[in-house]
Amino acid sequence: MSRPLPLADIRVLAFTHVAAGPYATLQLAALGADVIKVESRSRIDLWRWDKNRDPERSARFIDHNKNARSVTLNLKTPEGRALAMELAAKSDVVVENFAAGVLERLGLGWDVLSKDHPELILVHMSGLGSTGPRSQYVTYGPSVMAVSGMTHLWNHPEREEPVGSQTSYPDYLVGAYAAYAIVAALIDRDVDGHGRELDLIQLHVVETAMGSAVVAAANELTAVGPQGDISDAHVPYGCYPCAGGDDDWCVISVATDEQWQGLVRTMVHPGAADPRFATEEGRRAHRAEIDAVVADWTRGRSAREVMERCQANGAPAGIVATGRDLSENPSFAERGFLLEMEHVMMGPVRLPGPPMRLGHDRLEIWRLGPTLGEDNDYVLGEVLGRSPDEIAKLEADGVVA
Amino acid sequence: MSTTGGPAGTAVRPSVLELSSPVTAVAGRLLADAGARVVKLEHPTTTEPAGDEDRARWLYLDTDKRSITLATDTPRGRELLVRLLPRFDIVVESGAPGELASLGAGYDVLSAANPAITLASITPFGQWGPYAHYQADDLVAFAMGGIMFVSGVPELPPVVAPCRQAYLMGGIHASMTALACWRAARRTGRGEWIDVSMVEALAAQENTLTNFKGGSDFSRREGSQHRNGNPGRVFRCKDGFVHLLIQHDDHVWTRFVDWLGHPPELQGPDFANLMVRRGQTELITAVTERILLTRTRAEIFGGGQEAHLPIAAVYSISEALNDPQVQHMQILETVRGPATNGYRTLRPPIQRGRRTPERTPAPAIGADTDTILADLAGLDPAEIAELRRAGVV
Repeated sequence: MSRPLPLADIRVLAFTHVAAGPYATLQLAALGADVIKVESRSRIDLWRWDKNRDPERSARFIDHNKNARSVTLNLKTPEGRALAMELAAKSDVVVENFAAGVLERLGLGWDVLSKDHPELILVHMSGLGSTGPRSQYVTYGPSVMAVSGMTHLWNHPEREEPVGSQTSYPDYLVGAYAAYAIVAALIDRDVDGHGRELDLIQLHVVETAMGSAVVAAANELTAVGPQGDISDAHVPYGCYPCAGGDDDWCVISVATDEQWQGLVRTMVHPGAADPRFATEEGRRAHRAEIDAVVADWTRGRSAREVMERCQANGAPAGIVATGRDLSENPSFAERGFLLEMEHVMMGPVRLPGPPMRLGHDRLEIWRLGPTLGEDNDYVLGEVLGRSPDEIAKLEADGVVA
Repeated sequence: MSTTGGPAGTAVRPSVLELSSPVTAVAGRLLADAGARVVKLEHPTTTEPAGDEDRARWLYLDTDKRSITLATDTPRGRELLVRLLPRFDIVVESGAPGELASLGAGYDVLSAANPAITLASITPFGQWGPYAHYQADDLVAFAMGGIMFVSGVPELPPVVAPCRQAYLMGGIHASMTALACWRAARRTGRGEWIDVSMVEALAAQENTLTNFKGGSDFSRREGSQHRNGNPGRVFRCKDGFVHLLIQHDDHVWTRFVDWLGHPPELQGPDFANLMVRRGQTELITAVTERILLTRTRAEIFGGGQEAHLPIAAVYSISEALNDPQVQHMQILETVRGPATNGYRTLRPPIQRGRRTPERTPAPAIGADTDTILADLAGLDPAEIAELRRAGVV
């Protein structure tokens, strides 16, 4: 790319771990920000402990920390804290996702960091916020999801016990949202010249992600309940069984007469040509019959075939993609969304890239998540101006560790 | 300084035109929450929301926005579209790739008229590539993004997330990138064409890709059972459901057994090891469930957290809104205006430390057509009346 990236003027200091914090800085780094992640050998990011129990061989860590630099500082030493403060003074944004109050107890709260740096943007991302009766509660993404109402809603309509999900969706939702909030705060700073402290509460963000259901509840409109794979508006709509394997599923969602005609042309099923199904109203009145016809047709073929044939006829359909399906998605491959990179310890790895691009250009992922302290020399030398001897002494004294 | 005037002529907040769709409405919401002045452009035949679900969506998504109608399927409508769009800093659209260009308002045209303009295009698979022409609503995009397959219980079909999360993830990436590009364009005078794929935005999450190790070795539906926690799942209790997530640390396990009341089956130092517990999931789940069934959700949530354990109530949204912590967070605020008695909507999570903006109620369809056509296209009332008679606005 010939032009500088939009956030090329921004440095972000990250006290982040696990998923939500790194996922926020990942977006900013993709847009050109210089992200420095503060780590410590005495308190290693949980995300570095992947299946093989080696902090330098964690697929999820090298994925979520792409384009970030790593500096190891022992924040329990006064010198380590002083270096962190020095770095904050050279940063536009400090972002952290510790539990509420941890950064303050380390002596790195807003009052301290902003004293000589009023343009700083400090972003907290705690689960339930920094004040209030439950602010000291211990939460992870799935806990926030449970309290928010999302776990309750993410279910089949007739089932009492929530089905659950393997994803910790709030981590990604809040991470991406935090990146958006940080860009908005940078604009605010451009407008008024002031930095700010953002208490971005994970639970609040998850409520926002269900905004229409929250507004329904808050205004005594008909409550939104678990809808599973059912829509009031679209028929057919849902998840249908397929024959491509032991757990093969497709989704189909028909909103218009045109799409329905496309589906009828695709299925060539004796039950589909029924004139009662020709209008939206008619289809809504015969949901169960239509579902039976569609399922009868999908059961005889793979989800991939259903998708390809429906899409060729203008009917929205897709596979319920597994991890393998994602890695074989021809669009991901052709657009370069799938990154094939070489990790210094792990060898060749395949990872997702940024989902946004500028014009035709992919936003560059110039490195995988760093090894512990990989950038100590750069950060302490280039950014903070320490000499090699000074850096060696900091390492020997256990400050950079 | 903004390089374009924008509708209200102010320089410090981007002006946004949302070519209205269920997808762009979400991005427009986020841009408005960030302080942008958002105009949504709808077809004159659009009908007011019918039914509570659509009404709630409209109130939530369209608060603070203004509305103009324009029949972009007429020659006169297209001509006005091409005149209007370059007057904005950011345009958000979710048409099929090539659709905007076919209206004569592609990025090249907009950028020639206003080099600083940023066009954000949100589609299922992006502007080009083998699936660029695929049609996908939220369900299809969510399924293709990989999270649906791991959501649900093994004996039932996968379940899509509630409340259109594919549209939301597309909207977050589009609004973040558009704001960053607008901010840069104020210096460089050059905008960008942003290409966001909703499916890619989901596939980037949760290591669904990185966890695939070849063959059939990929994540599957396992209900609420957590990969690393044990116990780590939803449990039934006396009057509802709770979520527990006991992970690595030995002392967390010790506190947990203490809080459970030292059930004899879970004695022994080995259980402190998560790897050992993984081999005993059935036993641990059964014992935990037996004890939790004798306690209420409130007891478990409050008492468990008093023991510093990551334990949470599973709430419905109404229950969440009544929780003292959520009440304390003041996530709701009332919007009033001349045509409404007021309604409650979400306060954006990003506003602390900023002035509280005056919020305006969701507009009726086309409520601002006359003002915007006069201000931005320089039309006089007679011309607007003529367009209205012709069904163009």
